[in-house]
Amino acid sequence: MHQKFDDLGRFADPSLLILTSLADGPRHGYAIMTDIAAFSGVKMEPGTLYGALTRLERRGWVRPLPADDRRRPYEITGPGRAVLTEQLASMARIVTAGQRRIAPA
Amino acid sequence: MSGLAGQLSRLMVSCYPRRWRRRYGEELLALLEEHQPSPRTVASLALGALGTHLDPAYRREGITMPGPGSPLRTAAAVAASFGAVILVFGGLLALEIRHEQQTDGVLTADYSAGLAVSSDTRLGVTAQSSGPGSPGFDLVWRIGAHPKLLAHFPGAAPLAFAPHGQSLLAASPGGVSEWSLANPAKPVRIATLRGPGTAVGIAYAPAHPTVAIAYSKAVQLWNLANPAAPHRIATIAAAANVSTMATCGNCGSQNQIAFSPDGRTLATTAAHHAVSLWDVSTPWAPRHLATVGRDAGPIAALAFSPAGSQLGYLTVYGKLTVFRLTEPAHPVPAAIPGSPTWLAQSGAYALSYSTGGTRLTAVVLIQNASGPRIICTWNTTNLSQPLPADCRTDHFSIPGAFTFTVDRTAIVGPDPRGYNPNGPNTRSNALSIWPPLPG
Repeated sequence: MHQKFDDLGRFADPSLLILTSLADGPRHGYAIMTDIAAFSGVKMEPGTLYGALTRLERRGWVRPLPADDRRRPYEITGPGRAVLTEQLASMARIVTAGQRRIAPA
Repeated sequence: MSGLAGQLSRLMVSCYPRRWRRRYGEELLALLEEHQPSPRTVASLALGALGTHLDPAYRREGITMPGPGSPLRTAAAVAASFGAVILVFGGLLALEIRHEQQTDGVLTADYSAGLAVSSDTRLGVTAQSSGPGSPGFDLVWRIGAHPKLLAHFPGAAPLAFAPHGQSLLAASPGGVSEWSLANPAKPVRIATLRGPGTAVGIAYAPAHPTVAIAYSKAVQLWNLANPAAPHRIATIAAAANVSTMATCGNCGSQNQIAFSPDGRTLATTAAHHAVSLWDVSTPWAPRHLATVGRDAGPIAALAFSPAGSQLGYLTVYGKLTVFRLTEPAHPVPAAIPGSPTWLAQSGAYALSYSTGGTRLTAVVLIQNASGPRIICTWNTTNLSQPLPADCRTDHFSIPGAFTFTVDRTAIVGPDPRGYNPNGPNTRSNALSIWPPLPG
């Protein structure tokens, strides 16, 4: 696993979902939640979302955009995209290994 | 979210450190207005507030305060915040339980069986299909930048807003009920208009207070001058198109009966897939003018042009017919070439002329649940040499009824954002507005 993601503690998994949601374009908080529910089935709650967003912004992996009315969109940054790419590759290796081992001999 | 829930949301957000609130508080509140709260929501906010207080980046704000009492103040602030969160948790949990008792059981319906929009486009009411044998519910939605569900009441489709937008007629067992939406969060039933069975169409006359209500074998005209004491002024023994209703349950039946813009002519669907025109200039003595379009196919929607000089109707197969109404007693048909054909007997339909009356736009959602959305626009300026329709097909796999705004400039329907037929969100959470065709 990516060391930087491990540092996020209980926000590691939500952060991965948020970065994945933002990978194809900026979204505001509610849109991130509904998008995550659509592509993963995970119903992320507002406290978890903003706990993870706070940490992602602090690390420079997402950046806030000018607010649209009261809703503020976020976009993934270059470093955020690099970390997401690395994390997804790591997970893909796990999936490959797991599927190979679980397959009937 | 109710006023109480809104206050509790603000209280919960106030549990976060001040510096965090200045940065994220307003957007979190905006999110909570859109989000359907649950005990998990409250728990996540409680944990979030506590975790942020313990986060070194925000804890520093308290520790750097001078004086020997600073660590104590920090500890007290954390304890107070956590206590407040527990209190709020209890409050919202109680609110949530009450909310579930009131609404949760009715929000599981997959289809919006009918839709009406207020003249100012600020409110929408949808009829939910709760399944055979289940009581129906109508849901009141706020439309706009921050759409949300405001309330619900027992009812069904068809639905029709009064021209002033303060009240609504909705089908109910044994007739139609009139609901006051002066406070949209608390609909109040103010009258019941008894009828012979289940209503299949409702239309307000442009000169309120006359209302036409279509049943399977009759059309009633009511006077609602005194909303608390409506009285029936006439009954037209006209058979509505029962076969249409049977095969086209979600056709948006509010479109199957319509007054002309001057309120003097009423168009109703009739037997054998026909349309009947009635002179209702004296509402207590309606007079049959003409019946047209027999056997054209089950009629999905009909619409008068803004000037009242044309009547268009759409069959469930996509065939559009336009009649010139220079003399309403002698409608003259105009052949419309290039009408698209779609093999549908079930879907959501809406039909409207543009504000200037030069274009006629139809919206069709095939099969309701997973079919494409088709939007076609016909130029009706020159009916002697009509042009083919300009159509667009979208992949729009979301169920729900559609309608046009009263000013005829936009379409209203279920908002696809967040909808996932295979995921946890199997219904639309809001209504959205979009123009009939780009450009």
